[in-house]
Amino acid sequence: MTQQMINGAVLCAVYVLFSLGLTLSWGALDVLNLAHGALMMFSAFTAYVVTQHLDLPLALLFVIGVGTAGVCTLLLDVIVFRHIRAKVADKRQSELLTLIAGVGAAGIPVTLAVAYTHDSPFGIGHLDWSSYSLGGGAQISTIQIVIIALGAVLCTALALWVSRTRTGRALRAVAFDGETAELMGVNTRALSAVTMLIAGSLAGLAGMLLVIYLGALTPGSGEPFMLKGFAIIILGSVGSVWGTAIGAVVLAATETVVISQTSGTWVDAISFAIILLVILLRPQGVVGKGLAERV
Amino acid sequence: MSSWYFSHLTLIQGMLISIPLALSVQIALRSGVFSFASIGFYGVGAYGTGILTMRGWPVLPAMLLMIVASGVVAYLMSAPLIRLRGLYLGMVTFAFDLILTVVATNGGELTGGALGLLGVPLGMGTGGLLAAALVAIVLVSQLERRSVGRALVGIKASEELVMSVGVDLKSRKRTVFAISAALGALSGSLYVSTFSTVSPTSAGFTLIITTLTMAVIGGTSSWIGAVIGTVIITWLPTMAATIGEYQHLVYGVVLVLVVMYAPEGVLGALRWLWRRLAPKVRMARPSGGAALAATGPPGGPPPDRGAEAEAEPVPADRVKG
Amino acid sequence: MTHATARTPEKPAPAAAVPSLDVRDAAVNLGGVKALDGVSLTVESGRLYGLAGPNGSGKSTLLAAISRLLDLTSGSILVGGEDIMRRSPFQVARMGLARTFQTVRLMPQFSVLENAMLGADQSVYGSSFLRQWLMPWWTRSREARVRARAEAALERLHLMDLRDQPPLSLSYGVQRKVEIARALTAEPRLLLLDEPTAGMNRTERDEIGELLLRLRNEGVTQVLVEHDLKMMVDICDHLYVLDSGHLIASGRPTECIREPKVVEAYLGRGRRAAA
Repeated sequence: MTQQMINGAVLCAVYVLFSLGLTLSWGALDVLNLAHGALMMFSAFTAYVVTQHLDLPLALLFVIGVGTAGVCTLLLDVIVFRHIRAKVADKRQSELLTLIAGVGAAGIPVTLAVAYTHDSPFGIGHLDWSSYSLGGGAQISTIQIVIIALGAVLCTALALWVSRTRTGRALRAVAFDGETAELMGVNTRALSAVTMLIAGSLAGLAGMLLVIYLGALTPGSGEPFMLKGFAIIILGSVGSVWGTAIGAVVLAATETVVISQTSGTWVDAISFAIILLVILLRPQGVVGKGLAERV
Repeated sequence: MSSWYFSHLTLIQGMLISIPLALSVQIALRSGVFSFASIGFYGVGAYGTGILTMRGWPVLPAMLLMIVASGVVAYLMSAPLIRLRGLYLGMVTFAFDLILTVVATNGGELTGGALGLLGVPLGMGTGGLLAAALVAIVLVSQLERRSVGRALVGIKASEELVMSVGVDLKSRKRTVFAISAALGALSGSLYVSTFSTVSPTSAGFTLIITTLTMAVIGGTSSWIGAVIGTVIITWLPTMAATIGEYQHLVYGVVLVLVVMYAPEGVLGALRWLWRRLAPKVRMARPSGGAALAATGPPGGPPPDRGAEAEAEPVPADRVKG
Repeated sequence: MTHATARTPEKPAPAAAVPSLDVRDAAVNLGGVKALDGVSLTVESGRLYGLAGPNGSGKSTLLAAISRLLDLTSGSILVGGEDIMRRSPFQVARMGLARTFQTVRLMPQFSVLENAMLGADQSVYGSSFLRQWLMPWWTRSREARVRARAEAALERLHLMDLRDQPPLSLSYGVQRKVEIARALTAEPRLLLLDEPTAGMNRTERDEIGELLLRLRNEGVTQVLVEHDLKMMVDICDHLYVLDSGHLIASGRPTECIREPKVVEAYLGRGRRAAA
């Protein structure tokens, strides 16, 4: 039981990191970045490619992995999404084009990874972590502690950033009404760049932690994570940091219970079931309110 | 000619199979329904038909059953879905496609697990594929004409407007959703009974990329765009031998570039060319030019007022629709 | 013009079941702001009503509520004696209500004629996919009927020469006329016009004013929202004045706009004190 709670907490922390990036860009910029999962995988993949050629310390690998996802997301926004937003006046059309561009962009890292690994699992080593016994046969390893701590700390930090800092307030203003915010002197370009950089870095961090924790990822690992991200966002409502945390707890807990009770092959279906349930019962999300509504 | 035909038979067949799928995305996007669900129904059609024919069903009834069932299921599914705003609908239908991959992988003996179905009875000749593609084209192209066509384009342009002229918005969207699903199922059924196999990956994320590229590169404003896109995407890999395993990377890049620089696709580019050439054609007819001059120069008082107005919807947009 | 031959003779307005409009205690809250607050008014059939008021007084909100594009927070609206609060916008449209929008809503990919045709499509042949697939001869004949109606409407607005133009190539005033033509193509019994003459010059305004008067004489009930008070006073049978979501005046236009409350709403308190 204790062991399952630990496993669930680790899962939850990874989910939080992954989903925060997704929900932030959607909530603030109306960008649903369908390449988010692919870039999460790509961060671990880049680190893997580096380890094939160089022997670097883990910390440096993290910088490379997180940086890759962050910079790629930033470039995606600066080059592609921003272009679409500037060019297409009709909001619905611009949202649709952004969605499609995200799918196209996701194809690039996935194809690279498939070609390089021949569509097989890859890892970056660093699997030896000391474990501590918690009694009752339950154990917790250093990496598990690190993941849980990072999830909790970064989630709190992000929540404080959005609610307490000047930049965070500007972000909420943009989420509420981009044009007005711009008129009021908010530098929307810089703000969207920062947001996307953070969003991508969070995905990269999730990918790096995951590949170390699980030992390996596959080129297709990002896709089920998109499902999970969707379920968490829709549970917690778009753009809400604490909502995302609560959504992640619910999903991770449900999955942990299902894994312990069944063979675990259907675990990805839970996300979809959650999505369907929320849509049928409460399309505007279950917990809290998004960025814009709280201004 | 015939030797060319036989050496390219797989490509030709693949192209004919892809046409209904590309149309399924095109008709949805054209009508302002942000749905990727038809790509999931491609998987449903492929697996369903495969499973049925492997259990002794004849091909045609199996296909028909899957197409009709997909349409009906999609119609029922659409009731809660069409209430969703654009991005949510995109997200949910994207999730629907991904979950079907999970279902197919974990379906045990029924779906053949990660390997998928192998040795599905063949039941489609090229003639049959051609007929199916033509039927799909005729059905979809008819929906671009007259009252029906105007209503569907209108849904995409302004939901408030089409409601105010009496279009039953919900019913139209739901029907489009169902037709899109049925077309996807048709394509999947054709695939499995032509190539005798289907696996979870063949209906997964890469199919979403390929299909979107087909629909968007040609232009979603008309069925012609979907057909042009299908032709281009089918023959592109043969033109550049090096593409090979990087096929989907190229599609991804192409998709992004088209969305950025030519969101109307090839069709849009052709229309643009036509508009440039048309005035020269019209010079021959005196009435056209004179008519414009009679109403004064275009773009009088606030020229950008229309664009500004579109960007800022009446509050009603948020409350309803 | 050769097109003139295609024009159908003007149909007399149907005498039976002419709808009047009855707004009862209508209120709309938009995010805490009371856009409409307890507005009651009636519109008798066959007359031209003006709806005046300064910016943000709730005129467009009321039109949106009548065409069911916006839900009332409380109160009810009756068209022809029938409560429409449980009807969809498209059902209300099919009851014979047509409207124009404050912001022009024309389809850039359609010609002027096709934009106008959109107005009559549903009442003449709807958008049934099955009919479209199975009965091409039937849809063809209906298409001709819709086209004739659209051409008649374009004719009334002197737009026949522009029938094949894409709307975005036209000036804003002309686009507004196309917007009106689309509403006329529906041959409505109740017509809601939201600032139909914005962006037009004086001559064009007078033209539209005359058109609305002719429509009134043909029996079309109209509710006109317009910034041009002079035009409203000139042509309307009856004026309602809104301010901050309240109905502040009602009556014959010439008398109505002299009421102190109305002057105050338009010119501000200070101005009145000075006067």
